[in-house]
Formats: sequence, structure tokens, C-alpha cells
Amino acid sequence: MKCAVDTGALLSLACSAHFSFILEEHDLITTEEVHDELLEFAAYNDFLGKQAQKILKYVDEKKITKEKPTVFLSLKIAAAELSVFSLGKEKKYIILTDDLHAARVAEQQLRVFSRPSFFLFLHLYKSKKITRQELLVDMETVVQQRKWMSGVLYKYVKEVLESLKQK
Amino acid sequence: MYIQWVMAETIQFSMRIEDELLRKVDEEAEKEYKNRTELIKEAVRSYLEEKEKKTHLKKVAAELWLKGELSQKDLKKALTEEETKDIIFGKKWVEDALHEMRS
Repeated sequence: MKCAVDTGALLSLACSAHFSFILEEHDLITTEEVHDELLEFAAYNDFLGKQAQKILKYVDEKKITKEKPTVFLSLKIAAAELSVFSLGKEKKYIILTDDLHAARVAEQQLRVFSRPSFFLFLHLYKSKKITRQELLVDMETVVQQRKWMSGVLYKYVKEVLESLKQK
Repeated sequence: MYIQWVMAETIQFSMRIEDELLRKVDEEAEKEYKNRTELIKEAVRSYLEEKEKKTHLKKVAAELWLKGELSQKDLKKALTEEETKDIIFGKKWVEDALHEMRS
């Protein structure tokens, strides 16, 4: 799958112990605007800063590539998200974001659809690359690290997945 | 027995601040026998703690709503209008992604 990925989604995916599997299975494409945000994150030496440093290394190695949209959508969302949504729409890539607000505005105003980053964790599980337990551990790692609203939703998804296991 | 003080690593940066505000900072610092840096650090820490408390309440409200244990009316009391719209959208958004993978 070819995916246009924003900063938050890349950071969520990088929290996973299976990030390298994701890169083997899918083409992650990002933009210059996201790259700039990652540089800002990487300036800090905390957990997310280290994830950003890891992502930037993959960008340098061209395991994550950068592309530019030719036209920017007319949406009132942050510049990095706008570049990713514009690129994804133009190139028909799957758009991955954990920015709920951007996802809602793009879908409701321009019918540009996106998916949460955990979509790729589910994909790894469905293709039997990781076990259910590993999927839940990945989800929990993201719950602990992400901003409040995406953290809450990841927790909800994790609980839904756990309840499915019990059935 | 050794008692070792471990100092957290600090970073130096510069900031611009209005004269009047700085004077108030210095006056307050003097009253509390602190220096300007200590007072500003304490104020920032306290601001962030307050924000964290508010976010925690929002998180609890959103989690309860997602579990069906809080009404949408009460959710709206805890979150801003935009946050409420986002979380309502978000629930369907993540459920659609789950459904897509299961089908």
C-alpha cells in the first residue's frame, strides 16, 4: 500500500516495535512540511524526540520518501497535514493521520478520506506478520505516548480489540 | 553514606519580555526570596500542571462517552465545541477502520 503520512501518524507508527515490518510491507510517503516538523521534534531528547530521530534516519536512507503535492487543497488545517492530505488526494495514496480535527475537516468539507495510523498495525496483524498480543502491545505503547485525543481513541480501539478476543 | 544530588539537565535560551511584566516578576521574586529564573520556572510549571489537570478531565469524559457511560450532553460540558465534534467524528472514524480490516 502507498500511504501519505503526517507527523503524528509517523510518530505513532515509530512507537511500535514493528515499525521496520511496516516499512517492508508498505511505501510510506511524506512531505517537506512533515520533515520540518520532525526536525523540531528531533531537537528534544525525550521519547518522541528519539522516534523523530529514527524516522529522519529512515528518510535519509530513502526508506521513507518525500513528495510534493502540485496543488494544495483549500482547507483550514495545519500546514503539514494540509500537504499530506493534498498529496494523498492527488496521488490517490491512503492518507494516514492521527489528527482527528484535520481528518474531520477534510472529510466533511471536501470528502477527502483518511485513516488512523493504527490501520497499518491492523494490516500487519491481518497479514499474520504480528500476533494479536503484539498488536495490543503496539497499541498500548501509542496510547502512552500520544496527545490526549488520539491517545483516548487508541485506548478505545485497544479495548474493542481486547473484547473481540474474549468473545 | 553518600548523598548525591542529580541535577536535571537544563537548556539556556533567551526570551523577550515587556518591562512592566518583568518588573512584576522581580517584585514577586523578591517577596518570595527567589530569583527571576526560579519564579518564571515555577509559574510555567504551575501553568502546565493546571493544563494537565484540565486535559485529564477531558480525557476521562471522552473515555466515559466512548464506553457509553456519559451522555453527549455531558460530554459537551467537558469539551469545547470543536473537541466534541472531533471526538464524535473520531469514534466513527476508528470504528470504520476496524470494520474495514475485519471485512
